[in-house]
Parts: sequence; structure tokens; C-alpha cells
Amino acid sequence: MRPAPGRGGFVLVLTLLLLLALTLLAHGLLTLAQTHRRAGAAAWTARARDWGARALVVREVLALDSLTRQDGTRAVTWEGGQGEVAHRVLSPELVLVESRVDSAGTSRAAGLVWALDAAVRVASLPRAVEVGRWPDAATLGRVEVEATGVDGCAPDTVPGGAGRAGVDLRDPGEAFASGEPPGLGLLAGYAIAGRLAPLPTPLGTPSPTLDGEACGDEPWNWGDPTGAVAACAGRQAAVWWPGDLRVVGGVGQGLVAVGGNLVLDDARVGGLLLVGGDLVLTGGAVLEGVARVGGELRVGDGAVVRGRPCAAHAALQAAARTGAPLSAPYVLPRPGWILY
Amino acid sequence: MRLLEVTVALMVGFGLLAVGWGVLARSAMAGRTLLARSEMVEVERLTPWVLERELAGARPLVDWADDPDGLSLRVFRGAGVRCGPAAGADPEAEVVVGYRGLRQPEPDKDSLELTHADGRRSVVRLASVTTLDAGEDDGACAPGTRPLRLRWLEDEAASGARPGARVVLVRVYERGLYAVDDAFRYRRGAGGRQPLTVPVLDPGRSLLEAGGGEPRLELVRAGASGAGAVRVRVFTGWKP
Repeated sequence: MRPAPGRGGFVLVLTLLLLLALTLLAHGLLTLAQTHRRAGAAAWTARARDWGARALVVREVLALDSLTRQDGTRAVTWEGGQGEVAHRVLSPELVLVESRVDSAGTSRAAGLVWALDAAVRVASLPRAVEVGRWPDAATLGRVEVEATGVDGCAPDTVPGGAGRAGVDLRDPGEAFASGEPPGLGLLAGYAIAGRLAPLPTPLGTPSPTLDGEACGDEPWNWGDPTGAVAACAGRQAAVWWPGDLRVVGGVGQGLVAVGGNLVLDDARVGGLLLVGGDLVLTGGAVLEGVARVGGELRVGDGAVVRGRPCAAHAALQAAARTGAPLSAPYVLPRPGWILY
Repeated sequence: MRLLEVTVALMVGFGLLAVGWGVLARSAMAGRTLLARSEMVEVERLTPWVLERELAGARPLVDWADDPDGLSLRVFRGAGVRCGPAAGADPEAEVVVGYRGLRQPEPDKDSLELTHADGRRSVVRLASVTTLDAGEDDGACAPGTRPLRLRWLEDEAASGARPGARVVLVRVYERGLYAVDDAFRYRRGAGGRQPLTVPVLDPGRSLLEAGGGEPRLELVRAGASGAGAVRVRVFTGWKP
């Protein structure tokens, strides 16, 4: 069935056209599949890069024992590529930890980290005592208004301490749960309590005791602000009690957080007191330091409050260095994350 | 013989044509199906990725919540770290920042969350944005950032910071809504919903809900028979 010379067979043409159409279709499908494969891989890479950037920030924050209060950038390797981590100091208590990951594109993440700074916290307290309810005139007369300033502090520690003596109402916007001490900065009262050593009893007398020649480590050994027991002169308590606490006699210093009422009965205590309920001074009690009080301040005849920010600063600084330090950095719940 | 030849040729020709047409038609149908599925795959890929980025760091039921039309949220658009005060500026209402973000802040669309030096935050309305010329920031802004002067209106109702506390970080947010109908869509403010994907979804069976803290995203291809819903997990990265 060979066609005569000069006459084309249409079957051949038809078959060729069909093959051409099928080839074009197959090519289109192949291109589509390849495009998808590339898009899928790119999406996967981008997602991995985003999480990598976040993971770098987490890794950096977890590795922080304390805030590095210095701007800096360093290169890091990440399993998906190269990147860098940067610290940007925004304020003495705030650092922005930023990360960048380069891997077929760039992803950035950042976490805002806050850590308590003793000097800033003490400087931010407006008066010797902050209270939830305004005290009576007799109590006000027993809160000594003296230009405490930064006397007794190291020169570079507490800025702007002058005018700190006196009583002020707490910020009404600051709320804390019943049975919880007031917080400090962004550290809530319960978070502070969780980082302090619990007292064994709700009633006690703080006194400096020696363990051999060194200062003892008992919960009611709150150091010796008088200096009579030289080995305990530098010891600062960092303790808390969830309910009402009564301190009868004795001397001591440090950070004391109480969920309920705190009664100082003839006791001499220095440092920083965080009291969820009322703060009551009776007999010849003396408070030398600063107090944040959720309820009322009552200072009986013979008792006195001497506003001393330096004592509060020393107490807070010591507490910031204990086993579960108050100054441990943490990422703020929000942003916490910034993604660019 | 000539008639026989023609007849055979026609029969063979028609046979080939029928087979070829059938193959072509099936291939075209397969191609269309593959294209539709590939578009669906694209939607399944893009939708959770966008949501994951937008919801990262946002608090469920605070920053994002259910809306009758979809998922309503405060959408992060950029952040600026303080480079210094503007010359003659009111420090209570203005700051110069090194800005980095998806787009330039816009006063008629955005609100600002200010982080103060003491760690407290407040929300204010953006009043104006000025891009500083090169050198105007005195080189204080970080390299790679855009120096901007941001001015805001104090919003007493939303303010949470002590007056006078220095602003150290500014974050820019816009109000947005993500929804799923025949496509994955985004609505900024009170504007219209713009499609982010091709319209291949079944609007009656696809859904996007806040889901009490874990977004619930179900995508169903239009024309899919039976239980064709694809439940897509959205990782928000936030565990309260």
C-alpha cells in the first residue's frame, strides 16, 4: 500500500500531530511537577529557616546566666546554614537577643529578655515605704524623713536615692493575688517567692550564729547589720513565708518576702521587705531599708522606719546572686518573638 | 483495488484518530486534575505557613480570636529599636528608631506597642512617620535598619506604662483578619478581603477557627467528593 509518488499519506501526518500534542502535554506536566518540587523544597527550607532562627534565640537565652549588658554580634553555625546572634542592650534590664539565619534566603527572629537589676529596682521605688492604704498620722510621724541619698552605698550603685524617705501609695494599677508579696519590676511576687528560701516557722527571732568561725547558714540567721558578729556582717537573708510572719526581737538584714502580714516586734531588720498584707512595727522595732506593702503600715510608739535604699540595694543584690537568682534572665511572654 | 485501499486506509485512519483522541482527552483530563491538585497542594502549603508566621509570638484569645468571618488578629508588621531622641522632640510622644519590618508603618492603619525601659508596655495610636535622611540619625541606628521618626497619640485607655519611662522598643501592628472561603484570604482593617491563593476551595466545607488556642484549619477542594477535608496543623509556637 505504498502511496503513489507525489501523494502524501494522511495517517502519518495525523500520527505525527498526535505525538507532538502528547509530547507537549507531557512536557507541561513535567514542568509542573518540577515547579512543585522546587516550591515544596523552598517552602520547607523557609519554614526550617524560620524555626532555626527562633531556635537560635532560645539557645542563646537558655545559655545566659546573666544578662550581657553589652552590645555584640557573633557568627554562629546552624545545621541549615550560617547565621549570627546579636545582643542589643535597650536598658539596664532589657536586652534584645536577635538571630539571623541565611539559607537560601534570610530569616530573623528576636526575643526580648528582661532581668532584674538591683540598682534600677531600688532606684525605681519612689519612697521608703509603698503602701496599699494610707497610714495614720502617728505612723507617718515615725517614718523618718531624712536625706538618705546614697550614703553608705558604693558610689556606682544606687542612683538618685535622695528624697526616698517617706511613704507613698502603691500604683493602683499594680495588682497581685491575695497571699502573695508585691513584685519587683516584671517579676511577680510568686516568682520572687519561688526563688527564695522558705522559712521553717511563722514565728522566730533572727540572730547571727556561727558555724565554726564562719557565719552559719540557718534560715533564721539573717546576718548582723550591727557588726557585732563580724563574720555575719555581710550575710543577707533571702527568705519568704506564705502567710503571716511574726519576728520577735533579734537583728537581721536581707530580702524578706511575706504573703500575709509581717509583724516586727522589737526586732531590728534592715534591707528590703515585700509584704502582701500589713506591715506592723511594735515595741522598739526598727526597719532600716525599704518596704513594699500590699496593705497598711502601722508603726507603734517607740518603733521607727528609717528609709535606707542602700540597705535595700545590698539585700537585693545579694538575693540576685543566690542559687535561684532573682536576676536570672527570661524572655518576656510578649513579644516574646519578633519575626522579620 | 483502489477502493479497497481507500477503505482500509480510512478504517485504519479513523481507528488511529479514535485512539489518539482518546489518549489526548485522557491526558488532558489528567493534566487538569493534576493542575487542580497542584493548586490545592500550593494552598495547603501556603496557608499554614502564613498563619504560623503571623501567629508566632501572638497570644491566643488575646492577640487573636475567633471572628464570624474567620480569625481576627493583631498582625505584627515590624519593629524599631530606639536610636535616640529626635532633635527637639517630645520624649513622651516621639522617638527615632532603627526600623525593620515587612513594610513602612502607616498612621491610618497601624498601632504601636511601646516597650519602656522598665519593661512595661503600652499601646498607642501612630500619628506620623518621617523617614530620616542618611546621616540624620547620627549613625546611632543599627546597620541594615531604616531610621524613622515615629510620633504617636497617647491613648490613655490602653496605656500601661509609667509616665516618663523611656521608650526603647516600638512594635508596629495592624488589625487584620484571615479567612477561608473559596480561597485563603486576608482583610486589613475594614477593607475588602483579598485572596492570597487561587480559588480552589469549597467555601461550605473549608474552615478556619481560633479553636480555643490552637487554630483549626480544614481545607476542602471544590468538587472533592466524600470526606475530602485536609486538616492542616498550624504550629503557633506558643504554649501558654
